[in-house]
Amino acid sequence: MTPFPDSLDTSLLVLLAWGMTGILGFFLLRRSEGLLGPLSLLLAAGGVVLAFSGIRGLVRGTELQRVLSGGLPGLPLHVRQDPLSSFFLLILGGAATGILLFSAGYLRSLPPPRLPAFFLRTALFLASMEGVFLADDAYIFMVFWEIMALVSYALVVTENDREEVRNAGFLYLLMAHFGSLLILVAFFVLATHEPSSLSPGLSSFTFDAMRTSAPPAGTALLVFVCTLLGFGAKAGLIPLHVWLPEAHPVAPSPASALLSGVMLKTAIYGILRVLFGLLGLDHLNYAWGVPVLLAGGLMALFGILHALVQSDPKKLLAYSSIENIGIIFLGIGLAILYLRSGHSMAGEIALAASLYHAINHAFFKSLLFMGAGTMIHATGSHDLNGMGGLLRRMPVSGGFVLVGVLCIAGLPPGNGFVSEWLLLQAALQAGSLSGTLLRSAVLLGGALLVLASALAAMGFVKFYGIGYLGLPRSEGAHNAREVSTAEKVGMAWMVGGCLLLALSPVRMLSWIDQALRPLTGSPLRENAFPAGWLWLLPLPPRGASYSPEILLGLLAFLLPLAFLLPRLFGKSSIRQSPVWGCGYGTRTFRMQDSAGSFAQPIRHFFANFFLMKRHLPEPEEKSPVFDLTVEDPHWAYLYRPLLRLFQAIATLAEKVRSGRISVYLVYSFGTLIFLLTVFRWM
Amino acid sequence: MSPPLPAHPFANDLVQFLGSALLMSAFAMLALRRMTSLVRIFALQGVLLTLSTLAVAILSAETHLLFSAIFTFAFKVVLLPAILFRLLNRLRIQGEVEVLVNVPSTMVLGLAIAVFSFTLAGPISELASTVSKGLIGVGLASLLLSFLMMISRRKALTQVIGFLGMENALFFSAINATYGMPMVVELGVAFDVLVGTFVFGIFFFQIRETFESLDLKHMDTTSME
Amino acid sequence: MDVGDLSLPSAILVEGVQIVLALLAAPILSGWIGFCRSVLSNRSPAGILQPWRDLVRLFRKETIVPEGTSFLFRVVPFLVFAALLSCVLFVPALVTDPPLAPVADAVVLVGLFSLARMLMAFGAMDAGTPFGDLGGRREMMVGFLAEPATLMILFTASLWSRSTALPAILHSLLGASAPFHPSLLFALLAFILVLLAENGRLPIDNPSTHLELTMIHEAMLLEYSGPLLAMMEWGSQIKLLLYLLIGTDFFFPAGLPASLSPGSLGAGLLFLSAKLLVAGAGIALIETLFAKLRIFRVPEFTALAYLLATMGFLIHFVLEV
Repeated sequence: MTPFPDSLDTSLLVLLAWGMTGILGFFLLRRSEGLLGPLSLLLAAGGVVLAFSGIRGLVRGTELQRVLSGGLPGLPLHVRQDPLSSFFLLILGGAATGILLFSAGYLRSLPPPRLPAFFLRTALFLASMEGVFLADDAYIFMVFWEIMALVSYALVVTENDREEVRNAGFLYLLMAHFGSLLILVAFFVLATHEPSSLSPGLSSFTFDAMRTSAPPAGTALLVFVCTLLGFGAKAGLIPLHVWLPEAHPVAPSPASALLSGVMLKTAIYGILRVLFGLLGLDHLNYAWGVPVLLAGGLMALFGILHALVQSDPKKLLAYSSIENIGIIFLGIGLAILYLRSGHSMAGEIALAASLYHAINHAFFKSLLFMGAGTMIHATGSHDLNGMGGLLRRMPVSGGFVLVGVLCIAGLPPGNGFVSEWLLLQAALQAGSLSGTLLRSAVLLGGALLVLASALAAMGFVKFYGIGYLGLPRSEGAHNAREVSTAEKVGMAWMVGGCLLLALSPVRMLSWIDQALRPLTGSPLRENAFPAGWLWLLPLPPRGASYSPEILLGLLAFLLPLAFLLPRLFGKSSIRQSPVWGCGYGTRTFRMQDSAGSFAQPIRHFFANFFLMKRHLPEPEEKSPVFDLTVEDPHWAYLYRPLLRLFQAIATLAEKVRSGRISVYLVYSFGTLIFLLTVFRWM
Repeated sequence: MSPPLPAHPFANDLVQFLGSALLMSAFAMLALRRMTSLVRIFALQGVLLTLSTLAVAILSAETHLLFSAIFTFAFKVVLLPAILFRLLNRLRIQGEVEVLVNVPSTMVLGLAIAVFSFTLAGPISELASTVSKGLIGVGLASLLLSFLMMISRRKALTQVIGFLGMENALFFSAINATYGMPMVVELGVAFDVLVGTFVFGIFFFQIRETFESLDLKHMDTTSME
Repeated sequence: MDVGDLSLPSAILVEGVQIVLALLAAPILSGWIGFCRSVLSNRSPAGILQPWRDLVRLFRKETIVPEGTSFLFRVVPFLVFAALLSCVLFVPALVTDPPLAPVADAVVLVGLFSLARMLMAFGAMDAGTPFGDLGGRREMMVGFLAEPATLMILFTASLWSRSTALPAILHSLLGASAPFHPSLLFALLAFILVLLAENGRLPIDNPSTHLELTMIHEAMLLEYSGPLLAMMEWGSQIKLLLYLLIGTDFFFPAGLPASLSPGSLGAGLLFLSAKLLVAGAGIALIETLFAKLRIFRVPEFTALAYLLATMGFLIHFVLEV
């Protein structure tokens, strides 16, 4: 017996503690807002413990199971922490800690009456996400999944006095339910094909039973599609993504960070769990990988293109989340393709790269959402065009955001680069596939990935260059102040996470390998890291290698050298002077690129991806206004027609409704007769 | 029918190299906008064809291919480009070609077509016993790319060049797949193409006199009149 | 996987020599291209040491920082320089296997170039002038168009070795029996296009113009002066050198010594210089022959590069396997 509780017990304790702290905090905070700091610290401590529990589960590779009393009759609560859960618990714990630390400082600005409810929702949100990762039967999974959906809805509509917030929340709820429905179908199909019980009882709904289910190929395809679309609705799979850029930005920034950084990963977890864990690799077809791969690539491209044209920094980040989820999907598609066509190494690497990108994204996206929150607080504007020059005024938080920006752009030696590098290495193995079409599909996926990441670099140059650099574009930006210590600590935590992920990829990959081993069966570890912790060498012996530690060391060595070079020649004095600007006399902030004009080339080249409405001023207008609105084409071409269709159906249905009670009684009577008839003669 | 080739890796490589150069020239035609460049590329295709015909002739020791090579040179490198340049001068066509579909999209489409033809030619190539199996796919891709150029451009002269490019690709495939058609057929085709170009040339003057432009959009309406 | 077959001192020596030579040679290479351009356009050339003279003169000046900029503006030139200089360590130039080559493969190199580009754009935008923003925006635009093409070229070149490690690619190309690789022909053409686009040469950008509305690279450097400008210029010259080195590695790898004997090293250096001089003259020739493209024609240019590279990749499987 170990003196510690094992990792599953630890995780369950955290779940309980989060829930209790939330309820406790709800009542305490109504008395005094000063308790926000200690209470947030308490939640954050839970996050740290959870992260460690995840790491412990990963290092040991343990699979722990418990059956708790409660639940449905015949179906007690099953919980389980296997390495895959441990990995996602690590994401949750790690990201939540930073976000909670940050929110201890950030939330002071929330109107006091809203604070207790917000705190409660945050705590319950965290607990429900943890529950999703720990669930081991379909019932408890769906319960936590729905709690998560409801609580996150509540978080989205925190500022419910604004109409756009309420609309975004409603849209989110709608999509969440659409997704849940499909997930339920997937679970149900899996349960009915479980061999042990011919008449499916409730015990078929445990994940253990589902793992043994052997559906025929057509049914497996149904499960595959339902899983992909069901969880895809949560992850922002195009065209089910429309809620995401509406809902994520309107929540308060810590909540946006949780939604984008962590909650999207529950969908990834769900896909991996159901497809690889429950349905099983053997029931997948390699060809199914191709649509997933291409959908992922297109999602990445579409997401980043729309991110580029946004001028609300949080909306930009939300669209960029679609890009990142697209990259993760791309990896999953590649993995299915490779694993099922007998290239287990490449497939393993692709899947590992996906998971790596998931944890990377949790860290840098949370960091950037925090950054966006501080920008909005400091300037009082939700528009990049009202910011600018913030780095001079907020050097510490601005520096943190710079790290996040470089990481998310997928540049070495950042952490985003590691996962994209791994994905490219996997895509490069396209040559070992047979058939021009298959190879071309993988190549196209690789090209889309690179295009998306190069566009991401441009997008985040826009985000940072317009938001933090140049001259302040508004009075608010001019008077911006540095953020509080708690906020700095929260952001620093995230920066630390990014750096750790960037600099110890081999350790991280060996953990990911633990998480994947039960799913794919082919261990990466034995042959993937022959060269020790310093060298990332996924495809030995001749494959490419990369060592971020040494690269960073070299950069750190060359940088001072570069500083010294000019000193060799003479003067080292620094003088401030007015800008040159090609000799134009005036310089005002209005002469800088606006958020819109920076993205002009993108709108020009990729015009087909946008729905643009231009308003050009007439020649004789007194106060000419140029106006351009850019819209997601899915609204015009998919959702509005759907809406019209539903409305048309509703109008038809309206005719049945006359308002007289006797008519309604006739309907009931008719139904009764019909059912009785069916009952008698069928 | 054709005898197996003597193992000669160098010559084999040369033919493959010429084949991919032909494909590249077909791509270049899609990307270029200047009329004169298009004609030059067409002449270059002629040179490539001559060389590859020569190479295959030497490899397979089929003497009639030598004559083919000479005819190819005479027609496709000297005569036809000369006629086309003359047409360009006489018609005073200068500057850039107008495109119906923008160039990057055309090129992406071209790539898709290349993938398609490689996939299509895969099983056929397995059956071929001649010089190089993969070259059938290359020839097919060049042919379809020239066709694509005909579709995506607006001026009448580019249609002719696209048509000639298609003929080049066809000729190339024939040489490599079956060591060429009988001499009579080849000669016949060559003269047909030549006469065709003359006829096109005469048409162009007529068209221009009628519509005062060589833009194809003016011809769209003729069917309605 | 540590420092290869070399002992630690000789490894340090090789890398040290490589970096010093790169520092010295990069401005000379630019000078050579300028020289050739002048000769080709019937102007009297300025001598191939002119970039060096410019650098020294800039270094002697005092550092001037525009008002209203943040610390980033001052740090960027050094960061850019360090990022580009570090690439020199990974590219086979003097020997086929630089000791540090396993640190970074071709994809990492592309990433480092991209890092330098992004930082440069930040530096340009920090000044808050319209020209800085314009330069940054256009540079990022060229970047996102050229990067996929670059990667496709790397993929094509790495097909023989199934690895993006530069020495592995080099070895497999050196060991290949066939004299012609059709796929490499495609990749080479694509590479030339990308080289011109990524290094701000004609027909994408004119390195010798300061006409406000057409410039890209120069617009980004507009607010830099003195030593800061020198670092930026030097960095760009190193980047051009790197591209040419990668190009010679991929497409004309003959003559690279595998052993460390002084004789073969010397011969290798001679070979390399000759290749670089020819390549430089080639760039000058292209720049003399072509006019600058309109900015919105740039996508056509890079799309062509991308497609050529992809065709090379496909051709490899159709013809060469």
